[in-house]
Amino acid sequence: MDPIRYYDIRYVRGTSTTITVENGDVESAGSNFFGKALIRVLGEKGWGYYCASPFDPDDQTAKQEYIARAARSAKRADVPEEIADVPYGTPRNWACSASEQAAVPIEEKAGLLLKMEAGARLPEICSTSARYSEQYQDVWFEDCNGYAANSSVCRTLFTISAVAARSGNMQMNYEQEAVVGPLNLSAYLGYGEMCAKRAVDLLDASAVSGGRMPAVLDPAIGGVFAHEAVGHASEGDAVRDGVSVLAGKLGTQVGSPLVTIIDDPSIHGYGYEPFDAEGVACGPTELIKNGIMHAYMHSRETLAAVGMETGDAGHARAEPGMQPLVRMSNTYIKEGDASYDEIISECKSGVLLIGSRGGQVDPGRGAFQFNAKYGYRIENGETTTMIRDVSLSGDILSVLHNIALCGSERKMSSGMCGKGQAVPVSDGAPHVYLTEAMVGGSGNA
Amino acid sequence: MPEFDLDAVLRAGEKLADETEVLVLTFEDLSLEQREMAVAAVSEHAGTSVYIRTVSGGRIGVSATSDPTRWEDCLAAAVSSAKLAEPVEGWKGLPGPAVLPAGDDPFDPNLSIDPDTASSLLARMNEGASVHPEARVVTAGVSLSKGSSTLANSHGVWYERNMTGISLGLDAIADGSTGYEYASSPFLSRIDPEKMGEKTAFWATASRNGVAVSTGRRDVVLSEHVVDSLILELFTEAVNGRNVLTGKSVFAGKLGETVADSSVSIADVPMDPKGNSMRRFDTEGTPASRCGILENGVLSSFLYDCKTAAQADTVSTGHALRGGNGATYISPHCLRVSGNVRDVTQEPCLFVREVIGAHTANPLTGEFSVEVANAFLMEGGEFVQPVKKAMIAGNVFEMLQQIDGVSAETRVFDGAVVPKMRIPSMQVIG
Repeated sequence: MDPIRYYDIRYVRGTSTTITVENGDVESAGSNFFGKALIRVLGEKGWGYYCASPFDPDDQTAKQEYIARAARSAKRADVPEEIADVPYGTPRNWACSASEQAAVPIEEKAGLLLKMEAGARLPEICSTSARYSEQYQDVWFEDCNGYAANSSVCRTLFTISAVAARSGNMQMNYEQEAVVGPLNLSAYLGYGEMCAKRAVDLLDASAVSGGRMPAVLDPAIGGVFAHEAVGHASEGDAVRDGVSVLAGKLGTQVGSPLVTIIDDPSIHGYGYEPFDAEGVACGPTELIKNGIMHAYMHSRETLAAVGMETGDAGHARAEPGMQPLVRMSNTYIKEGDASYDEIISECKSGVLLIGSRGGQVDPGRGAFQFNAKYGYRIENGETTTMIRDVSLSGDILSVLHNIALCGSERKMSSGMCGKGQAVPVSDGAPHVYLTEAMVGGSGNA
Repeated sequence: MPEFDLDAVLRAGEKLADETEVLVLTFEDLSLEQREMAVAAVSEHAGTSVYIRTVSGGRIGVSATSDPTRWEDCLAAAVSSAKLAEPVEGWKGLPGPAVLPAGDDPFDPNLSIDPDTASSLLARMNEGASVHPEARVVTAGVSLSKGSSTLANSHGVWYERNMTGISLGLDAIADGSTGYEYASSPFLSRIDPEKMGEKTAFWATASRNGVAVSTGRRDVVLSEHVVDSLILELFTEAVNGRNVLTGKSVFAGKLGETVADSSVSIADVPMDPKGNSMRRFDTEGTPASRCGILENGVLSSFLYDCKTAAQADTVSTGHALRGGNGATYISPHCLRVSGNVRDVTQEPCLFVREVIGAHTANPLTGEFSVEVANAFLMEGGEFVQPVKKAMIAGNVFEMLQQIDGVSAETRVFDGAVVPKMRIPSMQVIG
């Protein structure tokens, strides 16, 4: 038998159902049934993984065979690895199984989605579509120490989009809500009209001419800023590997004293995990506290590698059948005490960026970029004309110092984060005022 | 695991629907992950995915599973999904058996899915990177895979395809400057691990001590990576028949019109021997064939699967691939870009090897503003100075009309063989 220092098994089984409607018709409605187990073995020097699909949790013979296979793989590894001994914690359980939602016939959900989409068909709208998805996922975790945990979580989301056209000019907008637990579409029927109105408004918006200028971020794009600029660089694997500009910064001032950024898998957001992919339940980790680098997010492996006092385990996440990676869950900038009017007035001349179309970071270089759905120019301390296709980029270590005001109201937004594997996350912020940012746009100065 | 019984699905489907189709994908893969210049983890994976579609009265139902033992649930889900879908106007049925084009599968019989092969590829990448010792290799990975797919339908289609795959990735850092390379191919002989390692370490070291550039307009040369992830990505969305039909493409209604510089042509060539994904048939059984999309700047075709072709009253161009829930989506197999071939970096330019945030470009309008990475001022084909920080902004569809030459050298990505492109007078924000 090959040497085994530790093993665990994470079996994920579930169903996801998606309904897509386009221009008033149900385009498709499909289901995916999945069931995969990852068997993970820590050998003398490193990990071996085996992904089994299908997997029968009651078949003890097959289980032993998979463990032996993963142990054989681990024998090939040659990097000394340790895993930190941490308490498993107590999962904070929200009502997420949503059995009442599962009982609602799919025809009824499709009908509501069509109704929401119909609300988007306003004058000048040439195309509408909407998507509804619900995923029921059951997780069983067990390790070689006899520890076992299981969870049942439902995630539900809808997206609605509209394309507006006028004299050869086309613009699009989309709105999305995503939650853990049930989501009753009938409460969101007004999203169709809201989405379409914004798409029509964008026909009159202009592209901004890029350059360095002050910027105000709304809660959605402020959340992406927290996620891209700080979250990824605070992941324990990037810190361990020396490819984060925040590595080695614990206890040092990395930003304005107004900045506190937290990641918390236990809150009732889209990134909620009762326990992580290593079976560990954790609460909030304050990454930056009053501008000082305070803690990193860790797996048991990166906590052992970087140091027990450098942060919290409980941040390992994985797609079904894939290896745990250090990931964010629900990440946010803590509220300050400025009012929205105060922030816009203080900015004087710059841009207000609203909504997120995604972002990306190179944590090693410390460079990030994200794109807003739209925004407004700020002139003489007031918002004026609408702008579109505007993005923002910066250096993590300088931009954090440029935060001069944080608003008093925070809002979270949901989405997916990719790092080789896609996991559900949420992020949020209050309105945030940056004294200087590099703003990108294709407009001519 | 016993071999999956496709006939059982077709027999069961016969009683429930007008047409039934089943696509089965079996695969095994092995991955090595390197850290601290040694193997840190080894992963193995084997599995079978089943995709089922049923059609009744022109209503298409879809379902999929990664657990073949649940195929009956999957079939039932496809049948109930069909009840919910609108009938496809003009539906002509799933394809019947046809003569497929000659050619090979993307399959390398010499590839063995074993850790020794993978270890040797890792070692060769490291050796290549050692040419630039000031760069530290952070992580590297090798993945080897082998698989086959079988497509069968109730009209008698029964096609098989074998695939192999080798994927390599490497990232390096030198004084806070990063470099990254990725390559994949079905064939071992087309992988050059030493060169990949050398290039990765080169990008990291050469990008150090960058200078600032001023905001303004400059001639820019986009690397093959950037052409692929920014220009071809948005171009592909705009020629997707589904987007055209639903009013989500700026190219809708523009067949026969000039939409690009007259020097530029783009075709999809599924059996291109240089490509990575040679295909004789798509995932619903339509024989694959060359499709000229843009010919001398004129838009000449959109891409369709059977459903969108029926809706557009045309024929499928054989571009159906398969998504996670079993539904088809439209994608090219091997785009070939041709243009005015010249030495694109001979005259002064800003060379952009990579961008951060390509996926945030507006897929409808083509507008983008992204951060550059591994960017250099170039003259006479030589790197003169790395650029520390800048953004480039523009509109992909307007850029198609401004392309001022493409390079002779190309890189092969999973859906395209791509040259560098020179774009005059782009907006650069410094």
